[in-house]
Amino acid sequence: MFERMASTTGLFRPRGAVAAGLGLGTSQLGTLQALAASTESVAQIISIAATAEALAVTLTGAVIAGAGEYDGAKGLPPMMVSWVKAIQAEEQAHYEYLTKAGARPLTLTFTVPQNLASITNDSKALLDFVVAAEGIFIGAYIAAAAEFAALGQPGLTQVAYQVAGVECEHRTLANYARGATPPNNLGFENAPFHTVGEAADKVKSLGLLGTPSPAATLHYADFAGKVDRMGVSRWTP
Amino acid sequence: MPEHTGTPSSKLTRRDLIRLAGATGLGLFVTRFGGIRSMAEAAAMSESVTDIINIAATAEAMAVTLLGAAIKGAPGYLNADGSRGLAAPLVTVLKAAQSSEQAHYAFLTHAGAKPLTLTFNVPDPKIATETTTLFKTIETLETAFIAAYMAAAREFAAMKKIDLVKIAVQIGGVEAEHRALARLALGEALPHNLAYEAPMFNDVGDAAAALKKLGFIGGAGSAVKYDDFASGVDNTGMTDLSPM
Repeated sequence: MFERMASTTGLFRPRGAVAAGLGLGTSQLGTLQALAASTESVAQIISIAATAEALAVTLTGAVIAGAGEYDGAKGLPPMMVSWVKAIQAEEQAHYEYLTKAGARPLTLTFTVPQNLASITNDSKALLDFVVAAEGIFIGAYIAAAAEFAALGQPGLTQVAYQVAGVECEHRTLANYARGATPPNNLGFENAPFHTVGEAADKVKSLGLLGTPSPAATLHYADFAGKVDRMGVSRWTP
Repeated sequence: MPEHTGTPSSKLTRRDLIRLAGATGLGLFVTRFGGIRSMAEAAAMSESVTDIINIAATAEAMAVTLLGAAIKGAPGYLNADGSRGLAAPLVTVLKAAQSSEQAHYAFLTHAGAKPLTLTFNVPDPKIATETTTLFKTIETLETAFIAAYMAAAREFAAMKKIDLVKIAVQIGGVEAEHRALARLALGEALPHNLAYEAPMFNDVGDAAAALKKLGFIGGAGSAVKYDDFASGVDNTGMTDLSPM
């Protein structure tokens, strides 16, 4: 069962970016805030990230496997299926890199709570969920990039950036698929989390990491071996 | 607004020493990290925050300008099927992209960035007349912008400028969305074809040099000015026009 790795109840809880300008060259407030907020180590960050990537591989795998059941057996359009396959491949690439780097996913069993059951058979609900979920992942990797910087790891900041960009692509394409106008509706990506642990808390709150009486229980191992990498390049950072 | 035509800093010579010009595609610089990494990192550290945001603001102004020109000329574009006029959904995407680039520009200049120039060039006339050329160009430029903000994020991280790291990722992510949508407009079967965004530059100065080499800055093509398009930006449907 997933347990949150980092505490966010410190003596000093920053409430977002510095309000008065950027503090360019004059303030280390951002650094202090990040250090104060972040009790997460690199290992903790990447383990949480790997868990999220495994979740994504699993859920997308379930969508692919059940593609024909959506919308009253009308099925997902072939283009959408190919897109979901590529998303799964990319999340799997992220998972592989993180685990090779030593990440240990906190769980590889995931749940679909009853209130999200429609994502298993309704394309609109699915796409709404994907947009929201990618938003959480994007926020998580933005937090990770900042935390890695505070930990003196600019190379890992770059990797977090490289992953975040791909999650952003997923977000906008899911937005396009659900008919959002415009699909590229953000001036700046949302950064609601100070730590990756906060993002994990959000995912947990949705019931995806274990919940009573779930609509579905899914195992990463049932889907990881079926990832289709066709058309996807740059398999490592 | 006064134009700045100088190079971002006096450190170009140091960057030149470490830059390996590998022109691919439309001539973008691709730098190798391997054996020169320590030197590259040292050179990258030589860029100040001011250097970085000045270059970034220049790129954003360029994007606002070029997108504005495309939007203005939308009815005249030649499509691959021989029809005329950019499809309405594509114009909507371009307007939204311009809105976000303007938001980036506004944020950077509010923070003190001074763009190096506000006059840009269209190196290939077909960018202004052919839909396929337009979106291939957008894909190429967005790929460069993604890589530029990647370099910025890494440089800010090395400086322990945590807030700036976050902003670089927040902007870079939007540029990644633009890249995918450009590929969608081109009819690519997989708009999101990368598992990791591609690193291309050791530092943001390399990105600026790439834009110059492509002819968008200081080039010979027809000139377009930021001031002619900035006031026409349409924010319809947009949110989060500031990073806070």
